[in-house]
Amino acid sequence: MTVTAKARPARILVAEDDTSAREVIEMLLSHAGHQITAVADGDALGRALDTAHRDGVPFDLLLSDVRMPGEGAFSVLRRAHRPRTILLTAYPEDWVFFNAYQLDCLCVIAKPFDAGELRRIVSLVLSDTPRPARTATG
Amino acid sequence: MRLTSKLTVAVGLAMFFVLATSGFLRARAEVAAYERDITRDHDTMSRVVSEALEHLAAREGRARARELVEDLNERDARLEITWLDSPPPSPRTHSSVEVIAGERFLVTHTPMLDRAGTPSTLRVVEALSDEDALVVASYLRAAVAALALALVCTLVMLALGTVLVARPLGALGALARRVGAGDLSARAEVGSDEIGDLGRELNGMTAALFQTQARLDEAQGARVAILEQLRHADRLRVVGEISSEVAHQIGTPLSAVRVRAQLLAQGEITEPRIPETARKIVDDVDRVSAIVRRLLDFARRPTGKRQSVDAATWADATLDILRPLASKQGVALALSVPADRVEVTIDAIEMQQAVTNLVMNALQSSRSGAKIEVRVEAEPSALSIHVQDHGAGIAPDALGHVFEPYFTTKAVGEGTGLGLSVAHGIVREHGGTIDLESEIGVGTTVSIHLPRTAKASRADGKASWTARPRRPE
Repeated sequence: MTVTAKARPARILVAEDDTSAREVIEMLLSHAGHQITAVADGDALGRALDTAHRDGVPFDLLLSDVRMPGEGAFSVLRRAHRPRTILLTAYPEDWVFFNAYQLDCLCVIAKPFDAGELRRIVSLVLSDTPRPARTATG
Repeated sequence: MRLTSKLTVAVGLAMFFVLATSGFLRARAEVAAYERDITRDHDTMSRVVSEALEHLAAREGRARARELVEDLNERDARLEITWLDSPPPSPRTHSSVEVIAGERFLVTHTPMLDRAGTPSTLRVVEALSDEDALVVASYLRAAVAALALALVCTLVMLALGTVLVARPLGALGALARRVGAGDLSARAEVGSDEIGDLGRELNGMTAALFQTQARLDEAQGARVAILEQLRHADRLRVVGEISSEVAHQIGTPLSAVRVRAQLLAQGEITEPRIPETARKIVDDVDRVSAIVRRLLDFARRPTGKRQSVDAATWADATLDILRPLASKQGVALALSVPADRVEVTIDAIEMQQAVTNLVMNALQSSRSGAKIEVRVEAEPSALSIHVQDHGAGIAPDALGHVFEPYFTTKAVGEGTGLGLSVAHGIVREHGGTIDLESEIGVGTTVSIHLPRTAKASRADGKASWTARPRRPE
């Protein structure tokens, strides 16, 4: 089942420390022609967001694991200029949802996830009228 | 036997002396009586003969009287009668014992008077050799009788002593020995005398000891069971604390597996890349299997068996479970091990639990960005494992209690307070020691020292733990 590319090719940032999982997400999303940037820890995530903001080329979507080495994902999101964010987690505990809600994340997807589901959600998100990225004070 | 012998010999000797003395005295009395008899005979006979001679001399003349004397002598070889013309040594009949040529003779002098008033003496001499033989026989008889009696009594005493005293006491001694050796089921056969009473009391005492021992064993068994339960609960607590990490470690690879499988199923993966994709699926499955296996290994009850393991490999496996947790907290977990292979005989799972508890404690007091160092050091006969954190440290007045079960300075619900006590118990059972050094604001180092070869718990009374403030260097 292929996904009709309603969305135009977007800049997507993927933050995931597990190599295999990172590869797989890239595989899933690049299929639709999106430009994928991948980072493997919280510090790199922070740097990527800061650079994108500084250079004036913000990401359209962030797909981020919750648990990564280095600075915690929520900590980064709290201070950086974040795009629309989808969180991935293997252990959906209350605190994850709470923080996700506080930070206006679009949704929390539990691992293991369905490939088609992920694509549909991404596509749905990207087909929305593009809105400005949230700022750090949001 | 010694008691009986002593008593028997003492009584035997005393009896012998008493009997011998009485026998001796009796023999002497017999001899005296015999001598009196002979003397009396001499006396009577002397008087009769002297009167007869006086009459004969008066009627038929001296010569005739002398002939009678010679006749009498011939008739009785035992006696020698002599009519002396000399005056008698004393006015009355007198007997005395004289030794002539080495032999003893009884000599009796009887005064005689003829019609003219001229004194003469009748002398009767009798050999006492018979009497001597009698004396010897008497004394001998007395001695033999005394000896025989004493011997018989001794034997009887010996027999009775053995049966009534030596053997029952021996039986009680054997009972005491067996009880002392640990056999509390031993009982002695007892009679009805004082020794039997003692035996009955000893049996009763042994029975009471037996019961006490049984109760102690039961209590010990219960205690061991509870300790086991506590340790297991402690293990599960750790499993609980790392479960979110484990879920992440398992869920993430599974996620990748699922997506790849889906893409394969949907035909989205091109021919050339199919083998690679399949291989990556296998790799991810293997990773998950390893994590599950490690977790199950950690959570299972130890077998109680000790095996020889390479310290470095074992330490690394132990920390593996905890690395994700550490990294989540932003704490670096560093392990340093000896360069060469170092063997140590331990219960791998139990010791793993001990070290895990130490590292978990260290994690709890470490902030993000901190470092925990685990050092494994080897000596010829000992292995040391040091877990050092740079956290808040432990207050000096708490140091004395840190190894107590349920002692914790954390808030309610934040910890069981069992971690260090369980670790200490495990280390002690391996014959090792655990030492804690801490400085407020600087950190804590907990060191485990283990003998390299299997040892039972320390029985030497030395403390198996210490906890002291660290001296600032």
